[in-house]
Amino acid sequence: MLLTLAWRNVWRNRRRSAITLSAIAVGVAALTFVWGFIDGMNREMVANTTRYFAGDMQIHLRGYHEDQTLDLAMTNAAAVLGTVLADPAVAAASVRLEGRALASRGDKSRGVALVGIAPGQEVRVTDLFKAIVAGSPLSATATNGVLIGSRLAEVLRLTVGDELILVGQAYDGSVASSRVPVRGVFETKIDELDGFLAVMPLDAVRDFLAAPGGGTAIALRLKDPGALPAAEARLRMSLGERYEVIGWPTLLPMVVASVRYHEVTGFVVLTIFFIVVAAGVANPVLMAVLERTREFGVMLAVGTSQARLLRVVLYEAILLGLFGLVLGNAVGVGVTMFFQYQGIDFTAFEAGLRTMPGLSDVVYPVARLDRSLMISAVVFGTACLVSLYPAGKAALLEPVTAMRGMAGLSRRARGGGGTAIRLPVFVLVAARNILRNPRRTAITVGGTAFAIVAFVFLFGYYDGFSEQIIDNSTRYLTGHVQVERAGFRQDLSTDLSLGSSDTLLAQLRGAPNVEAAAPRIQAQGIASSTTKSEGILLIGISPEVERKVTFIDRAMVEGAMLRTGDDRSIVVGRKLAETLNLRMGDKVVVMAQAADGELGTAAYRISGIFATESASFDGGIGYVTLSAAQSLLALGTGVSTINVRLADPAALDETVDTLRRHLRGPGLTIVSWPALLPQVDEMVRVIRIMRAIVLVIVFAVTALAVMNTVFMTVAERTREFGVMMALGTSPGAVVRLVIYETFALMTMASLLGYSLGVLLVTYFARRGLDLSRFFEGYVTIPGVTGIAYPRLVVASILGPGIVLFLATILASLYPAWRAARLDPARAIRHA
Amino acid sequence: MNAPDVVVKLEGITKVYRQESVAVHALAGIDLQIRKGDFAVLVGPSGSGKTTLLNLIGGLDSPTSGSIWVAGVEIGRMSRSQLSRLRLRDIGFVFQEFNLIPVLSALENVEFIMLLQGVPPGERRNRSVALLKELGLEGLEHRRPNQLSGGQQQRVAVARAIAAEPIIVLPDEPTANLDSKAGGALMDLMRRLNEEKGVTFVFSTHDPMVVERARRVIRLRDGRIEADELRPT
Ligand SMILES: Nc1ncnc2c1ncn2[C@@H]1O[C@H](COP(=O)(O)OP(=O)(O)OP(=O)(O)O)[C@@H](O)[C@H]1O
Ligand SMILES: [Mg+2]
Repeated sequence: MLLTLAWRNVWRNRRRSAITLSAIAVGVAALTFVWGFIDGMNREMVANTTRYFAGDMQIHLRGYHEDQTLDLAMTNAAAVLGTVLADPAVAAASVRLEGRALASRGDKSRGVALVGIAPGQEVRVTDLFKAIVAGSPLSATATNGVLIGSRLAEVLRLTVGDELILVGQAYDGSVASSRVPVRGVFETKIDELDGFLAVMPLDAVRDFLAAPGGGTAIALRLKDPGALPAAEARLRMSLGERYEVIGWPTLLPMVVASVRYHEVTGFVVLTIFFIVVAAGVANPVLMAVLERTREFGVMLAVGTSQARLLRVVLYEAILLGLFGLVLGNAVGVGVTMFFQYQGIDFTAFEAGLRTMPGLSDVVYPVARLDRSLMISAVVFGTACLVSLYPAGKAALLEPVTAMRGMAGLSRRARGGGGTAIRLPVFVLVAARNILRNPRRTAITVGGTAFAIVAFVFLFGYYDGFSEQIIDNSTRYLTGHVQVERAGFRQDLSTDLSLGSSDTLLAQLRGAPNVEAAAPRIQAQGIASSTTKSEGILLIGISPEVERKVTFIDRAMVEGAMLRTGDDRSIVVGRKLAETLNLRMGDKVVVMAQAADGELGTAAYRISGIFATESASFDGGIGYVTLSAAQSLLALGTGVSTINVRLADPAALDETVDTLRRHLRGPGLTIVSWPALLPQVDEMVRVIRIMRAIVLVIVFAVTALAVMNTVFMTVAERTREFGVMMALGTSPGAVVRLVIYETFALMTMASLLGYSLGVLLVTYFARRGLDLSRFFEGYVTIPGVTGIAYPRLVVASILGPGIVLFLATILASLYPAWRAARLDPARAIRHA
Repeated sequence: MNAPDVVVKLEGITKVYRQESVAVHALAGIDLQIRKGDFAVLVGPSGSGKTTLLNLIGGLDSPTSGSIWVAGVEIGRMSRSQLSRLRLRDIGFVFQEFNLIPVLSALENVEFIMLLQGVPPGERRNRSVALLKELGLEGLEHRRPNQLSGGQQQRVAVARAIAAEPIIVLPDEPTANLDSKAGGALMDLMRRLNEEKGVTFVFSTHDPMVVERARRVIRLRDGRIEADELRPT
């Protein structure tokens, strides 16, 4: 009976129900999709990174994972393989021998991970061979030949059939070198693999590294990836203390860090969403009850008990909630599923996505039952919870007061105040109407203000974050502008140097908006300690000048930055020092291709270690002095680039234009940071898109809520509008009246929302939003650090702010139009 | 054509409401003339069509067939906004209840019409104050409707209806929510306005006391005029 009553109430006010329903549905659908999108990215990252190379798990001699040296190679790999394959959870396993080498061709070179595999075993463990885009995979019987990644092929200008020269350090410490024909090129869209991996038959690598029978790792694939922890534990038991069993989360800390990063940012966005959706749902539900004070008074008067009244109201909310959930889930899961099969193509932002391991062009969101249940439960709970308040209020009504109508009315009415009508009368009427139902006004203003706060905060967060990424990456590495010989950037080839730089430097320093300019040498090299080697970007700097362009000297954690004349010193990142097992004062040997075509070698001592919190900087860069680099690379007085810091970074494009017009030289090009750091540029663009998606949803929910309020104010005043129209008020004036009311509501909401939002952003801009607890490992996006500083950019919130304002006014046009279309004769009959 | 003192003329008016395919013949052929200075009352059982007739005269609704002239102009084919202007200029309405705009004070309610008509502020203020005073509402100008008694509210509604000096005032059961004393006072007031200022009134009512004070009684039954008689004054 009560349920029937609730059902009829829902049905009676179809429009209000439709609005409540759509607020719930839009919210649920949006949450479902956003969460599905994040889940999809994470799933893809894990799947792709494990599937091409790492495998689900690896077995090494104990200690190898921490210290990847040939000293820790297994000598009885075949026997270990047997034990591993005997495990019931293991689908396939393969033995590998891994080492570091400098791969070069002609005058181009790059440090690579050289991996020997048994092709027959490998195909059953990873999909690397499926990623071959040119040439062919290694055959099971191959004894020679190498597979390389597409990026590496590009950098070294190699095609299938060309020969590659590999130089490395053998097991016995001697220098090994070999010429190998390229058999195939693979493309996995994972930078670490495409740019830095060379794969050869196991025996060929054993020969090269002088490690017969050796194997550093056994990679394996599980029948069920979900069974990872169990299989890990069992293998540990069967293999014993001598070996380590390492699952992919430990093998690929970057992936775990990125997944965690997504989860954290996703959590921030989802939380704000949840609250906006809750406010969007609360608004119509609250009003649906408040506007019926009179009706509830009658129900109480005829003897309905308070408990029953409470239940009727709750049932209504439950009915609406359930329908909203069904609709929202249908739409949300539908859209997510559609894209799950279709994929969302982000090819335009490929470089940005590639900063996250395993992601490239197409993202496939996933619809997950547990997520849908969770979202549904929270939204449903919110709807019921917010209806409890007005339900309680309704139950506690004094029937007599309630029947007299809006209880608040007589309390609010004031005598006196005999001012003449100075304001235009409709503005006056609108203003007084807003005060007439202060509770409803408060709910609407509060809800809308909240949405504004959310949007201002999110924008602040994103703007701050983008700026931080740009700022950190330009000031640690590139500066704002780089002057170079055309083509230099593609392969950092030493023969594309600028020659002597003095005139150019003088010209640059004289140019407008140039704060500082520093000459540099940049080259690919390989750095080795006594036990290990790693590919690095070797940067030769002129220390005193460099300090004015990049701020790496401020990131020193041990020792000090180079000074002019420290030609036998090197400064490296903390992560590189860790991988090479080096401390302050230790010796590092650096090999690089010199301009004369010879292999340059030099030994330096570590005089400083820096940490920037960015993995790509800390793990792959070594600084030496300009003259040290010049002599290593046989460059004479030549430099490879001049890097420039601008006084006003916002005037980047203009400055680049001016420089292009004034600096002339053979093959001279001027490159701005977005081209130097495409992944940063695209990351910023991806952020902008995310921002837009969030914005659209927040606005949709807000506009719906405002429209709902306006509908209610119109509906409850049907009779009043009828009287006004009977008196000769024109339909246009009625529309205006309704719009003025929305305008006033939005003005209040904006004042409140923007002041709170600005306060919040300013507060966190000063304090910083410390998310570092969530990122234990390094984040792969250059320039991202653990603490985000939101930043208020008026220009970026201004546009959306105006759009929101207009959108709500537009949303109120429909109810306004309905009011103007009222038939006055009927409206006056309206009870 | 029309006699010069005929302000409203109805010819062959019918009004059919369709509700879920059932046709309700609210008015079934009405011919009627209202003259300047009339103080007429529509009486008849509930559902006989009184409100419908007043709404048609006032341009709040359109007839199913037949023609209506107000001040010599046919209004049956007018657009919504033309009707709106007609009501503003020529018609004054008073309803049974909830008549006033709740957020405006008594004075502002009276001023509202003149404001829509574009009467300058000073003038409309003076005329409103004078009118309220004349109707015995002095000192209550700045009260909001919910701070006035029902009788006071109706008097404000009458003040508002006549403020714009319309051709005809159409109160629909103005006394239905009032006690007999307040109702009587309201009737006396309108009668005085009729006599002193020549304002034309057509009421609808169930109230014998209203009928008693009328000078013309039009009896409706089932959407037809049953009788139309003048009463000696
Ligand atoms: N909007 C409408 N829709 C359908 N039927 C209507 C509508 N308005 C009036 N009616 C019908 O038209 C007939 C005349 O109604 P009207 O309101 O004119 O009567 P009335 O004489 O004013 O009655 P009362 O004395 O009760 O006010 C009635 O049968 C009524 O039900
Ligand atoms: Mg009636």
